[in-house]
Amino acid sequence: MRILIIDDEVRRMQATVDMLRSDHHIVDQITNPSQALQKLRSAPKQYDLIILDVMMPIDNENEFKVLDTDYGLRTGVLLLNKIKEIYTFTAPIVVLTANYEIEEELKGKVNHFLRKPVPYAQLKAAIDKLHTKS
Amino acid sequence: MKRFFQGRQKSISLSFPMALSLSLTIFGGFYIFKSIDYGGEFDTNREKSRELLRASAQTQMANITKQILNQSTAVLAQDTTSSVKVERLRAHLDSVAKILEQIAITDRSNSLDNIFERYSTLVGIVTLMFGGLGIFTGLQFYEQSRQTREEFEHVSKAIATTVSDTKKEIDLHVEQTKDELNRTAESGSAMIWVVASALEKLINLEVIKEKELTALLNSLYLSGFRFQLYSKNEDERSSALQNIWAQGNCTDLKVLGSIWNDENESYILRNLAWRGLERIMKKCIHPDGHPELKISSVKNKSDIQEELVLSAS
Repeated sequence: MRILIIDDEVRRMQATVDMLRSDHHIVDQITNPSQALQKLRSAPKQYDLIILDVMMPIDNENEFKVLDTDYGLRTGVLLLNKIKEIYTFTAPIVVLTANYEIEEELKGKVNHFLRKPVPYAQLKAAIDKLHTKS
Repeated sequence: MKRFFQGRQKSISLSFPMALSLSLTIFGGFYIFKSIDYGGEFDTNREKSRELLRASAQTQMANITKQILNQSTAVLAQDTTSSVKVERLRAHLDSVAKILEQIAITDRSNSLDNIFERYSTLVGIVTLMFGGLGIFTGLQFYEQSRQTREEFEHVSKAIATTVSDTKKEIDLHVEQTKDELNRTAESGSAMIWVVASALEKLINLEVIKEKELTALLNSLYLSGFRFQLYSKNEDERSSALQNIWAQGNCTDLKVLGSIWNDENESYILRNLAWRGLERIMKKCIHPDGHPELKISSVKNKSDIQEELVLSAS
């Protein structure tokens, strides 16, 4: 599977990235939401799965404004809405965050919601389930 | 005479295969029973050794994590500059690196190796004695022992690689911190990330059980974010504040207050600190007021601002 991880916490995600790669997935990681959006707009079908963080710092430029993202606490939600607007984008989205309270709000909008630090077995099960469905 | 010898030869040629066959049957039977007996012992030892290996890794990682947590909590609580804090943490992590060296797989049960050896010998003998049956039985045992060996090698390798990588990265950070006089908290938090990542990897590889250590892993990450608050990089500080907002506790109020009061901090960071204060304070309201911020009841931003100004003065 080709997986895109959109998460600013590179070091914290290292163990997960290593595990995904050892399971023969092709993994890219983007830390900046604007860049991630740009990449998905230019190639909406490049990835089979998106793993998205919710809390990410923003630079108040382009489409990600401080207040819209609640000082970065909801960057992922704004990004998710923008990704969904991409007409040809079909890849499933798994949200991985330490902000547990946002789970209710994201119900129905994403394929899976997982809490950080996520045991790899849970993430793997979610990926396998999505893979079977597709 | 000739007839006599012909008769003796005939009787020898008949009784020798019988005797050989009988002795082979006795020996073979004995070894078959013995190998079944060893098979049971092998299984028991395999289970015991697997548990020993995992328990050992789990205990050692838990001890290291607790030590780092205790030390970093103590370091963070002290009123010293971030460079002194990092220097103290560095010294501590240096000792952690030494402990990590010792988590080689020394606990791998010797008895398991003995069983393997005895087993291999038995399999060899049984194979020789019983031809087809022996080969079948032998191959089965061989396959079983090979699989077990592979499994142990996989687990051992996972631990050894993780530990070795962790050790290398800590050494690198220690060296970098030694070289740079202008030390920053980034080195301190980076070292915590290395250990946390190693711990998470061992949990992910199911070398150690997740339930027992997930809470510790959470605390370790939180500790890493607390150090990251002293980072020079604003994005890193912002990320740390977001995580403290999500999972911080009453002990974070003081540092959040200082960020909120710091006029040199950016608009985003000060507002994030404020969000954190607002959120965490709800969990920490005490009838007599919080011992550090002296807040009895806070409902809005201006109240907090006023209280923080009072507290700072």
